[in-house]
Amino acid sequence: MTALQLDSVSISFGPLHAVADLSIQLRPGEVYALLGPNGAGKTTTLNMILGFLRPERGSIAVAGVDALTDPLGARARIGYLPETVMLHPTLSAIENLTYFALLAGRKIDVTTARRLLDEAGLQSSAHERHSGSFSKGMRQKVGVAIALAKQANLLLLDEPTSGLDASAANDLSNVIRTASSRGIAVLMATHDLFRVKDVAHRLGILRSGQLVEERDAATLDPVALEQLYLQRLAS
Amino acid sequence: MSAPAFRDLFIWEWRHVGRSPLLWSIVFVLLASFTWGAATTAFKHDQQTAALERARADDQALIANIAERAVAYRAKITEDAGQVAYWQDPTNVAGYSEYFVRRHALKPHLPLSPLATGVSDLAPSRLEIKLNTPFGFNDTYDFENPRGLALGRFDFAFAVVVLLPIGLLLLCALLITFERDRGMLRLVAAQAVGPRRWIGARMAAILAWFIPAVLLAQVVALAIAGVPLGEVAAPLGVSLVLTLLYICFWSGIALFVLARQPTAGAALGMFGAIWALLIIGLPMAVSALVATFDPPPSAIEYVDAQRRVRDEIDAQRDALLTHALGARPDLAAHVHRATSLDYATRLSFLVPEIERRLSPQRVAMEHHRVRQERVALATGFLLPTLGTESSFAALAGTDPERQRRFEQAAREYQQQLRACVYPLVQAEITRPPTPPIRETRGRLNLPEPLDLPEFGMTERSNAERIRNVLPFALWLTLVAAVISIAGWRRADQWQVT
Repeated sequence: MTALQLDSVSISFGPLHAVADLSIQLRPGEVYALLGPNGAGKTTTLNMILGFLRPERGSIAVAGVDALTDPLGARARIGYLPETVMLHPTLSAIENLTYFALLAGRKIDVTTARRLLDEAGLQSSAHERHSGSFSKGMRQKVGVAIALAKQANLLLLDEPTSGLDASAANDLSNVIRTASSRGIAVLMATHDLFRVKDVAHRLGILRSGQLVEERDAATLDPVALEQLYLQRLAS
Repeated sequence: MSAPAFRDLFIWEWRHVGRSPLLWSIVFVLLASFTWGAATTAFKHDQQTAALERARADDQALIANIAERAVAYRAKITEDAGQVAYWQDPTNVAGYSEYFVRRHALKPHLPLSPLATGVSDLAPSRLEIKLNTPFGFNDTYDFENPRGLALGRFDFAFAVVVLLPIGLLLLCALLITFERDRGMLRLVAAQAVGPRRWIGARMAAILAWFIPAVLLAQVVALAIAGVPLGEVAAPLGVSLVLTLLYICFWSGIALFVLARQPTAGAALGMFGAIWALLIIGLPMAVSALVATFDPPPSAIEYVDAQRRVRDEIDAQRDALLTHALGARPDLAAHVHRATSLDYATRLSFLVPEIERRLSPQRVAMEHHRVRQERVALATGFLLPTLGTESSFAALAGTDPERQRRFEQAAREYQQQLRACVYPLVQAEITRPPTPPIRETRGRLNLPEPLDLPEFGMTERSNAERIRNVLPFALWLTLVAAVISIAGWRRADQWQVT
């Protein structure tokens, strides 16, 4: 069973074709990087997968669940990490994690919560602290723990390394690799070519809502990737 | 993996909302408002009750004074004692009728009266009844309740109707829009929960704290105001149900607005507009419409009519009295005395004539008053804010309808007194106009002061009072349910793009 199947998905906002005839397929454990400039349709694609937007044409299935007819069922199989993770400032990391896990339909105890936060790379001393004092990187780690707690089939990462320092970004790469090794497919929308080369198995370049290139990441070195990206955007 | 159970979500939200300082700040402010409102009304009603007691004591003192005077007027006089005016003589039935028949009609407050001031600060709860005052009593106060369709004073009902929604809407707006304003809504929406369950659980958690706290505050406030809770259990219970339904009505509105997950600013703006419309705008508009299409009869014209009729009666006095005596078989033989009747005896014929001539204006005023009550009742169904306040007043016994029945009873009481005294006064016409018996000061055609009936007013029972507010309570239930269901249906999708 595929982790994610997008078939000829299209959506317009008035005269603007935000996404046109997009087809992507992800196998379990596969990491797919969706590249493209601002306004290329990356976040719109994620919104359609999450059921926040309904495509005009095409179909979306997450781990075999039709996201158009059963968006809740599909979301139950998706771990989502937004570009900027915001948390309840008066709750601790553990309490935030417990709450979001509950929203995902899972009741987790404190031990499990600590383990997930450790896996996400959040230092133990921060587990009990109110998240109002957390840096962006720390909140991002709690967000990763929330996604992991869901035991999802698919991780959707929206600009996951935006605003993170090198160390935090590296931690995130490790989490992605770990998730992949456990059979979780990852779709990340990003501008970060270096990180793509680091963790992705496949990549696709979106321009004006159209998938103009799709490659196996292993076939490209970082320089070739950058040249391909710039070339595709320019053409 | 399945969506979270509503129960689990509710329990988490309940714990979280219970720790909110905002919740307890609002509950505290409401408790203080309820207590202030109920206590000030109770204080005012205590003063009015003291005034009723003074009036009752005055009546008793007058009766005792009349009896004492009658004894003095019956006693043998001394050589040098002169004549006395008939109006000072309680043994003269004519003077007695005009100057010594004075009683108070009293409307006591009910035990639950601190629930609402109603018309009790505008309409009197004691009326002085004299035989010859046209239509029962001097209506020197304003019959129209100028605030019947507006805000009203700061009493308990005001605190519930006007302030409670502000607290509830503020609480809902700030607690339910928190995730959107903090930029967390996408993360929430990406979980396996729909907006209906998520908003519903939080709203239920807010209400699970708010409703018991507010109802408890209501009971505490009324207890502090001196309401004997045990005596008024049934109407108090209904008032609590009304408060509960009123909360449900506003929470339905809150759900309807918040279903689309606006920001706190947008939600508060919308709530402010709805609140102002329901509490101020629409009542004022209805009031203006009523004043435009069914204005009250002019009070000045009525005063002028009274003056005109009195002048006419004065001019036609002898003719009227001659005609009145001639029309009565028992008095027809004494028509020649028409021009020499004393003032009080004349009034026994002329006052009913004054009332007859003024009755068109009086009937018009009464009809307008009844129409206003009907409009207020209908408006209460259109605007639950007014309906709730009116229902509180009905349970408290401070409603316009009870006041009107009190005034009707006062008028009937005057008629009862006239039925007792007028025949005795008019019977004197048939007797020779003998001078006072010289051995005494008194006229002695009324040897003993009359044992006049006491004022009585048939009060509605608690059950009847409750029955009166039930239609509104049922209507409010329906309206709250419809708005809540509409809000529930509206929360069909996340608004995160």
